Amino acid sequence: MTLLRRASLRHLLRHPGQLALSILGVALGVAVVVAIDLAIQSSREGFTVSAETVAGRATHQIVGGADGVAERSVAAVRRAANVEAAAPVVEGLASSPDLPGMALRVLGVDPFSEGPFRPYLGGDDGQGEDSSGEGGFSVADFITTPRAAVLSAATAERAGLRPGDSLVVMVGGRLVPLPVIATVDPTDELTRAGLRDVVLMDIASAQGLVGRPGQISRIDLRLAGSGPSAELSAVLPPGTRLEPAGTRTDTLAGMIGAFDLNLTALSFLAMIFGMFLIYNAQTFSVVQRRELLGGLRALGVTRGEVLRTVLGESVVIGTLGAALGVAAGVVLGRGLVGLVTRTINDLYFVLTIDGLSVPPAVLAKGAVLGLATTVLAALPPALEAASVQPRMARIRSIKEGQTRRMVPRAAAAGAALALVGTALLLIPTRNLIVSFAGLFLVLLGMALTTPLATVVLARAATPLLTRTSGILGTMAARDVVAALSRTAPAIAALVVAVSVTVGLGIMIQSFRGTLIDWLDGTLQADVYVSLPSVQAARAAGTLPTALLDTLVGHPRVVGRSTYRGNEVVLIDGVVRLVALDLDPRGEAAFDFLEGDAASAFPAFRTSDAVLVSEPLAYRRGLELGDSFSLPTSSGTVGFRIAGVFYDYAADQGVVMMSRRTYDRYHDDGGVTSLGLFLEEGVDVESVVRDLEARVPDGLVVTVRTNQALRRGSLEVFDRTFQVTAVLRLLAFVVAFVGVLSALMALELERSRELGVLRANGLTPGQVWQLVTTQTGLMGAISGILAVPMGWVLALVMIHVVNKRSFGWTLHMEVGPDVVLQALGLALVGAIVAGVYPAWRMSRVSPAEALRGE
Amino acid sequence: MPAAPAPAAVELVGLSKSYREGDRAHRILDGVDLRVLAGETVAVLGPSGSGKSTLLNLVSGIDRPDGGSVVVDGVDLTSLSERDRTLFRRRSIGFVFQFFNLLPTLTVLENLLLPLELNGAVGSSEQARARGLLEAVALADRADAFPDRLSGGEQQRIAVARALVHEPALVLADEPTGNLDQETGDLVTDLLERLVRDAGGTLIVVTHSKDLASRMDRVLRVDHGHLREDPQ
Repeated sequence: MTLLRRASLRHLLRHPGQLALSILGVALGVAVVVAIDLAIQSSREGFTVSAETVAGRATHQIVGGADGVAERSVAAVRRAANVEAAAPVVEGLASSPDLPGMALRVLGVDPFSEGPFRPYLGGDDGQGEDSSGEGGFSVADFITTPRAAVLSAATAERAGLRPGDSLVVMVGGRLVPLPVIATVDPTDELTRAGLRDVVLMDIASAQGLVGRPGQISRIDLRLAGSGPSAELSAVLPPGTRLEPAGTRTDTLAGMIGAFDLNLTALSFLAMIFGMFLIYNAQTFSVVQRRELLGGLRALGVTRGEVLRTVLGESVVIGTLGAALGVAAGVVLGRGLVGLVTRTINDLYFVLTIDGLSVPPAVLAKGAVLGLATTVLAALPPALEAASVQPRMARIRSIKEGQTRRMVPRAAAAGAALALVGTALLLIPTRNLIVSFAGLFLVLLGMALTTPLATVVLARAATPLLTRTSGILGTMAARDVVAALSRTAPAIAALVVAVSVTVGLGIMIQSFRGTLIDWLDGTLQADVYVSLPSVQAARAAGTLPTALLDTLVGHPRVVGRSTYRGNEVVLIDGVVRLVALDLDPRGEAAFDFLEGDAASAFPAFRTSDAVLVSEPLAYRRGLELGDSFSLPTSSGTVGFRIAGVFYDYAADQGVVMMSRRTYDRYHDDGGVTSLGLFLEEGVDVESVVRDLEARVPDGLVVTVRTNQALRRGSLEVFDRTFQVTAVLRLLAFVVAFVGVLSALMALELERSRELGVLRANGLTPGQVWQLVTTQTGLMGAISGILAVPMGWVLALVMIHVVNKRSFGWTLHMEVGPDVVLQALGLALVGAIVAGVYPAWRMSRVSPAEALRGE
Repeated sequence: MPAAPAPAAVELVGLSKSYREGDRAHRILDGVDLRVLAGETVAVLGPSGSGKSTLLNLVSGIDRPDGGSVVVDGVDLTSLSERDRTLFRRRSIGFVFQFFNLLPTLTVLENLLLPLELNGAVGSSEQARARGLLEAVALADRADAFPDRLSGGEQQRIAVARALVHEPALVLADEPTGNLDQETGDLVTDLLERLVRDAGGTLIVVTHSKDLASRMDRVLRVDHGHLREDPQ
């Protein structure tokens, strides 16, 4: 190791606090990025493995609309040219008290068609290969035992079941025992993982269980090399389509694209704060050594050697920080994966994962990112170090003079960046990368204006501080400006951190406020009835007709609306199709963005017109009067849009169709949930109890007042934003560590100056006062600047990022508490960060501090 | 046959340098000519701000003149790039600063080895040379100490040794006793003069000290941008 390198490493080791904080900053940034990446990857992988395992070796699939595919069409498909094999499949969801917290997928198959598709099932029919570790199961038992089920060995073990026992599942509000006739234990790890949430049944049993007799979810196909034949296309049942296997999986996975990207962008924020921290620490470290670097340059050390030496330090910090961050990221990821998958379950699709998968590529990516950002952040100070002119090195005022000259230029550059960012945000695109790039440029631009604002605010504060704290107040205020090369980056970091906290706070507050307003308007019925669902935000299954009649027949019920919700997977996305039999009292639930109740509802009730939600219209560029095509049992039908309404229940989009229209095009009489309107002035709670009493034994039905449903919806919302809240907290911690290190370094560097003051009679208490007044002033400046910046951030998040991600219009709400929160956060953060240096400085003896004189 | 003239270690011709102060240019050196012979020792006197340090910066190639030429050890520094001037400086010039500028994170011995390492690998002969110089400045027993454990005088003795360790053609000293008491300053001056003369090197010292100046072969004075011989 060269002496220069050795000297620089020892410099790092001689400032262990500074080194530790720098490493911690990188580590936290990397940890957040890695954790989010792992959580997202694990969710996606869990979904894909599961979907691929269930799809097996199918090359193509025939899929239908809301009511699936008619079973009778299988025979014709099987006979078509190029079809080597065809297998009908029924899919449904269930839960089980034996497997708490887990959503089960009921997979109904025809064992005689299965061989070419899912060989891991390993039945004894002699078809296909047997990859089952246990040697398969009896097909005879499978089809003759009523509701026979086969589980993966791992799932059976988790439920504490053995062949011969029964797995109790909850489907359609009823607990149904399923005899477990066998377990399968595929040797292949991926297949085993894919089967963890599957309950395999004979197709007829599955249809009976999920309440879809005569209907199948899809037909899996193996086509010969030349692909789909014209003959096959001709026999496709109406409203179905043929697509390559995996298309549906990709479409479903695409639902969470915006969700993933938003989380990833938030995680990068933590990394950017980490960058700020490194920039701060390295800038300080260079400033600290200016004179020394000048001496080295005079001795003949080249600029390149100085540059490499300083960057070498950042490599050490980056490597240690990245290593620590990757390890911490795995730990943090284990915590976050639960939150991420729960949100996906609540909002998008059912997902069960065994835990965090840790692909080495994600860890490597995190480590490289950490190292690269550290080196990048250290580049400006390293260049500054390399440009130190030996003859100027001793004169600190020259450096500060340069900094002050830079202030207006930085502000101008900041304004220019903010303008470029704004221009990017104004581009009418739905591309989220462009939106986030615009947002980051605006934030960076605003951060660059903080030095100018700092000078202005510190000067404005001087008279006040002089009045309240005398000469110490004057000194504290003037020092902020005099040492701008060091105070400005620290203030900028704190401003960004607090503004992000404030901005996200406003965004969440606005979202919640909008949701509450929307729920208050939407939940018009007094009581809602549905079956328990594995997805918190989504009613599923169908209510028995007899029960509907019993409940509607309650003497206090004066009206009812019924809902039938189905997810329809289109080629280019997923929509929720709701068949609505709407009581006129429920019309007020709709708040129209385009169209109005007076014209929309008559068209909705009397013609094939539909109402679409704002996210759907936004994503697909749909307008009033446009036609929206949906697959139905009668073929693909275009429905005229009679209104676009605000909706915050599903970001993939909702199509509301009158029950009359739905029934004309679908072979599905089910009702998913029921809204009941009661007589004026009745005790709703007592009616709820009455209605619950009318539910037959053995059937589990959720009967809720609209207030209870509102509370439940808000609980789901709050849960959804838990990940954001965690990220917001972590980002603030990273920034706080950065500010702590910057302020500590700043104050510790002043030890000689403070020593002189101590020698001139300043008491330790006055040193405390001086240091904390200065850091407090910096905190106050940061807080004041963070308010407008946080507001801008929220504005962009609400009106650009959220709109483009999810298609929602949110109403911005900024309360005075946000301003106070920003000021308090910045002030407390800065003062806390000043406590240690103040304590250190007040204890140092003047003689020690003056040793360098 | 007449004796060949002694080679010039430093030759300045028509050297001028200005700095901007706000909107105005402040001329520091104005057409300075100087020829310092190899092996000669020269003191440069002058009031603060007169341009003494600027002169050293120009001679060492740290700074570039606005006009004129600087030739050191036969090399015209004004024709070199910044990088080449730096490489020339590390090979051919030794520096002693007023504030020592030892690397606090290198030991005394490592500080001495630094110029040698910058000029190539450090072998046993370089180690021996560094240790020999430590003995010459009477600090052999402090080889493994870090500079902050040494007094100001000791640090400056190490700085003198460091300036000579790579046997430069020219040693430049910028107020080497300016930060030391009289007695310590005298000791450092003795060392500096003796070691430079023993090595047959050339020395230019910028100083306020008339005592130090009186020990040099020649004394020059910077006066209103010009360099004049001081009659002492």
